[in-house]
Amino acid sequence: MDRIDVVRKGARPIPRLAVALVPLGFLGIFYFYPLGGIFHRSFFSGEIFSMATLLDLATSRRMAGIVWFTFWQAGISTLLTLLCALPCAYVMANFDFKAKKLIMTLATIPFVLPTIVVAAAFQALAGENGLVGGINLEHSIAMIFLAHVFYNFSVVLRITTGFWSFLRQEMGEAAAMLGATPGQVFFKVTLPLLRPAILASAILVFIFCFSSFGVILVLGGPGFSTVEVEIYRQAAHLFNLPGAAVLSLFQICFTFGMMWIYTTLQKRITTFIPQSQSHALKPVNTLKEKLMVASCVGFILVFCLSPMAALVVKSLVFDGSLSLAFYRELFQNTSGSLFYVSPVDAVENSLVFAAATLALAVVIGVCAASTIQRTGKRIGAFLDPIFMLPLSTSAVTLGFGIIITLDKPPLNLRTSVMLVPIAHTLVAFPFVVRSVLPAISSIPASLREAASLLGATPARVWFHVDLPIMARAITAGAVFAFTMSLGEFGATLFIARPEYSTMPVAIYRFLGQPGTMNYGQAMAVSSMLMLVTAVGFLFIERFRSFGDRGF
Amino acid sequence: MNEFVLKNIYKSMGAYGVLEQIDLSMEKGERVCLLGPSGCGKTTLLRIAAGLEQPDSGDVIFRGRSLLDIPPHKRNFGMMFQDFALFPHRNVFDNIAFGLEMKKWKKSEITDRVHGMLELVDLEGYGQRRVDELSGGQRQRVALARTLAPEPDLVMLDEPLGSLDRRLRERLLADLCSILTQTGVTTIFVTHDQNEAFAAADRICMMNNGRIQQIDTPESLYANPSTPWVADFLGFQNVIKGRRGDDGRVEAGHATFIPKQAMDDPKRTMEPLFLLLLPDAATPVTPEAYGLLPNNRIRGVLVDRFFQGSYQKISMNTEAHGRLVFEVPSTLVLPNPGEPLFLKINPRGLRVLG
Amino acid sequence: MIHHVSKVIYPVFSLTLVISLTMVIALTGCSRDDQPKENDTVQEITLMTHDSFSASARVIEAFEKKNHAKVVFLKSGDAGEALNKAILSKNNPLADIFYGVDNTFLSRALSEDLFLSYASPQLAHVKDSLKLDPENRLVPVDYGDVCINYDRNWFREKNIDPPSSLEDLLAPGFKGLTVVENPATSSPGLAFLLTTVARFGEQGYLDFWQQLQNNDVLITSGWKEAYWGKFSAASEGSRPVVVSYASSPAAEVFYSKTPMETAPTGVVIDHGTAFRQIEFAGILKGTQKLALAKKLMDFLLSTQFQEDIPLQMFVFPSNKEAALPEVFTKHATITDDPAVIEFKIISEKRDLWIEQWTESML
Repeated sequence: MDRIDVVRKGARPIPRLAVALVPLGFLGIFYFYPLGGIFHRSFFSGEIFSMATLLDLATSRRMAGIVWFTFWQAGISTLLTLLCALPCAYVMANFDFKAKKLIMTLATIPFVLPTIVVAAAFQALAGENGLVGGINLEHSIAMIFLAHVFYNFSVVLRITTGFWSFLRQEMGEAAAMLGATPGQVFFKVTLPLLRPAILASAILVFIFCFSSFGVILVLGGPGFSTVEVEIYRQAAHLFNLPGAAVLSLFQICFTFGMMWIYTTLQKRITTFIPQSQSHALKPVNTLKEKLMVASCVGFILVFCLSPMAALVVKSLVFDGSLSLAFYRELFQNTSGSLFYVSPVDAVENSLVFAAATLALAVVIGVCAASTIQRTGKRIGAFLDPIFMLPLSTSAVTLGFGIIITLDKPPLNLRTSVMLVPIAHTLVAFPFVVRSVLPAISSIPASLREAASLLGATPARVWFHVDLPIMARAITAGAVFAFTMSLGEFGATLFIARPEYSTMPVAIYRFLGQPGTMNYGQAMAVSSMLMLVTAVGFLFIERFRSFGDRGF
Repeated sequence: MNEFVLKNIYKSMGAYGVLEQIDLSMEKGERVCLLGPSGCGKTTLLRIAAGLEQPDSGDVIFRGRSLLDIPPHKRNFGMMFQDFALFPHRNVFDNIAFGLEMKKWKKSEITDRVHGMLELVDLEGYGQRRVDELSGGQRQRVALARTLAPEPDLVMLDEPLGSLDRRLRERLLADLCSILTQTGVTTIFVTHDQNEAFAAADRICMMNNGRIQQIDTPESLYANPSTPWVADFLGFQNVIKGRRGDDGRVEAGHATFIPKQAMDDPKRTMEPLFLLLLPDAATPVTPEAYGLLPNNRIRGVLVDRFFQGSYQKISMNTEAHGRLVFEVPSTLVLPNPGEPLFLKINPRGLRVLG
Repeated sequence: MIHHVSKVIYPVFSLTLVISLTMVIALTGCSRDDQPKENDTVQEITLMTHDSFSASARVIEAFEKKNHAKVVFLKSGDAGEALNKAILSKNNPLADIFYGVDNTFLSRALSEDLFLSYASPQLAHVKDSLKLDPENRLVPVDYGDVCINYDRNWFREKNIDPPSSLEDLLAPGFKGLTVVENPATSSPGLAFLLTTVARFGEQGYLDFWQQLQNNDVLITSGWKEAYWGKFSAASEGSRPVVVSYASSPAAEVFYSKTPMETAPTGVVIDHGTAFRQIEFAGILKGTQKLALAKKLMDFLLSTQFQEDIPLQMFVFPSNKEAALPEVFTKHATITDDPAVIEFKIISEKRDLWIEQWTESML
């Protein structure tokens, strides 16, 4: 009751329109306007609309092959990721054991590693001269699958684990009491109840794999091409802007369609409001349970940690012995280059961009989720897919669009440093939306009504009711936003100011020239990137007091 | 032979302490209620009976066979969870049919059985509803139908009315009892509400701090609570301290009480004990009459009285026993609050507690 | 409980809000910064280039001091992307000077009419063989040869003769030894494709590639993947033959912490087995600072900048008077007999050849 006294008379509510304007304005300026510009330029460049380009591409058999390949590799990659991650999510969500947080962090780190470094790590680990040795890792579809699972494993693991640990245990027990064997409990009760989380993570992984670029180019080799790779090829090397634009448009339409189906499906699935407290985790007792935990931890260690460990080892071994030579070298500008960035600066730049991305993505993501929630079913179902589009839009197309549109004051951003966090935010905020949306939807209206009856203004209702309930989901989204930014190597997207080099940019720069010192330093920066990511996670998770539930 | 036996169960419950020396036997068709405050171990005991948890020691025996090695899904027991645990991804029909599907019943038999169950719980025509469209009372009945549909040998109900509001509880309790009676199934029922227990159970098993305090029929439990804790839990307020005197007397303060109830083991004189004065044991008398009573009398100051219809509740302060509360007929004329009050105690309304 | 939680969340969220507001302010501030500052002492000039560009801080400072200028660098992706971005921003140029159009893109760049003609006095010192644009809109600033590199140790240990011609790669002994880059996504890859066209003719080059494929050639998307992923001298990879630069051995020596007598890699450059990549720079049309831009062009061609090129970018200076560092004279080679295709023909046929190659190889 004391709250009545606190309420400031005349405090103005946050108008819904203002909340909606934040994400829509951001997308409008930094996404739709540049894209519109590039499409306009491609299709109506002074002359008549060139249907010819469109028809050319549509009838090309090579293009049909690429589109088909893009689909099925994404589908298989998503399935494999689910297959690997779901058993681990089961263990993570149900058992209590030491170092669980650490294992979870380890599983998420691959997300930030540049593909070229991952390729080197795989090679170091399992190539013909690698630690494990003897496995033929030369370009193959298997390599693409392996890399996609490696990268996306944690997306499924985090989302599903979060949801799973809040599934009510009695559901399974009720089924068991009705005579269901453990297998039947899983397939008839647990799996259907987990469906929203599995679908949400699967759709994200699918979009990632669908628009896969680095993995295909670096690990798959030129024998494989996705739509995204083809856009890059057409735009950057063949100067076929209309062709690239048509393909980008296809990609965008497809993503929109898929998201539309997803959101519609999602609505038909029973909304399952998980209990507010995660269920008690079981200690590991029986041999069977020990085996399950051991194989989950073992899988994550072998699959995620060992390539990373291989990188660290590479960065620490100089001339056959353990040495910090590569790290020391990082602090020296051997060639006196103007573009030398000290490791301290690279870490700082990365962190500043990541923090800015986190802040922007959280604000925009939360506003977007509120907007979807409040605009009701019809408009919300349209907005939701819209907000997911940046995740699968070709970076090179968007980058070119920015150059031709954001070129006049007050938005002369083509060469601005601000473009870095803005571009990172474009791909990061959809994660926050996906994460926050279910949390917002689960807030009972009665809670808000109770608060306003106690005299709280709509703004205060939002701060005191909505926000605390979303806190956990916001943190989950923030972790992903932070990670996206740390790992993003957006050279194709914007024009880089070399003085603001981030860690991934530094890695690429070192790998640009031959020489063992360059390679060693690239490995050293990669190791630093992993460390900074891990520390960043621990820092973000300190803000969250209730475990993790996302999506 | 007993239908179901829990034998010397011991189980550590982490922060909630331990279950100790639990012994409980049930006859076929009997309805036993576990009654106690939250955290007393009654739900854990129920989960041990169901096989959802394993006891640290002791045995669970059904029809002469130990169940310890049999997982819950093979026990053919039914359990209704506190908030019903209905499957949100299945409609009402499919929820009830779940157990039958697990038993591999034929489709037509399942349909018949589910419709029969819906009729039993008075929900005909609700089969295709989603469970989140149901009211609390309807959910409870769906949960009950789901539990009973596969014809379990033993049914366990964990606070079956716990999450419902008061008025609904009273109505549904009657329905629940009549349905259970119709099926004649052996039932263990967990509640923290004594009225529910009294209304539904053949026998009540009172539990506190992981131990069974008393097992008895509702009538004898109410008439003869065996410990001060049981008396207190059942809502009796007048428990006074005393000592065992000679010849079945109880010395409490300066007063002497002689209960009607026979005292066991008369040798243990001077042993401290508790005496329960039932609320209807008192009759107001004049100071003169009071003076003539040799024992079984109480004197104090009337604090308050509340009209309750056919009786009135009086609350008085006594020097020897503190605050006592009695119920007396409304027709009696009483002194005003603040004035002295003299009471004669009926020896039939005295109970010696262990 | 809600109240308690909000105590924690409120400051966090407020902080987030403050940060984002600051960013919005900074954003508008930054965009204002991008406007040319007409400062009477220091004039800013912008040089747009690709990611591989590098220069010594010392050298650039010398120019800045002498001309009271500040050089701003914009890196814009690989050579193809950078040129593309310059073309897209033609009407509202991002920079005053563009550095890094190579001879495979030359014709395209010229036909887009991006550059101003400027005959720098320094051109007198530039090798004539490198000058391809008679109007001097784009002038050569550096060059290098793309060629076959091989792992010296590997061939020594296996006691096999290292390759000396393109045909050697087809020998049975070389089965599974070679890694090359995709010409569609990599500039050394394109250079090597052009080498084969020059060497075997438009009719014969696909035959060569077919046989190369039969000999288990590995194709990667880019130079980094090939060199750091598959080349046995630089990675855990198993292939001792790679398409790289003739100056790569010099870089190997320069970037090794321990002094080396011979480079770990050898090159094959004779008899038309190497393709000459020439990089050009030019003044972008629409510059507001023509005088300073001309001065910077002069500087880029001067011996001071040109002598800095080898150790920064591992290519050769176009100025014939520029002295080479020791590591270049010792370990980097340049052929007198490069594969030659006229740049106009390259731009005309480039896409066709890439397409034909893609169809037959992938």
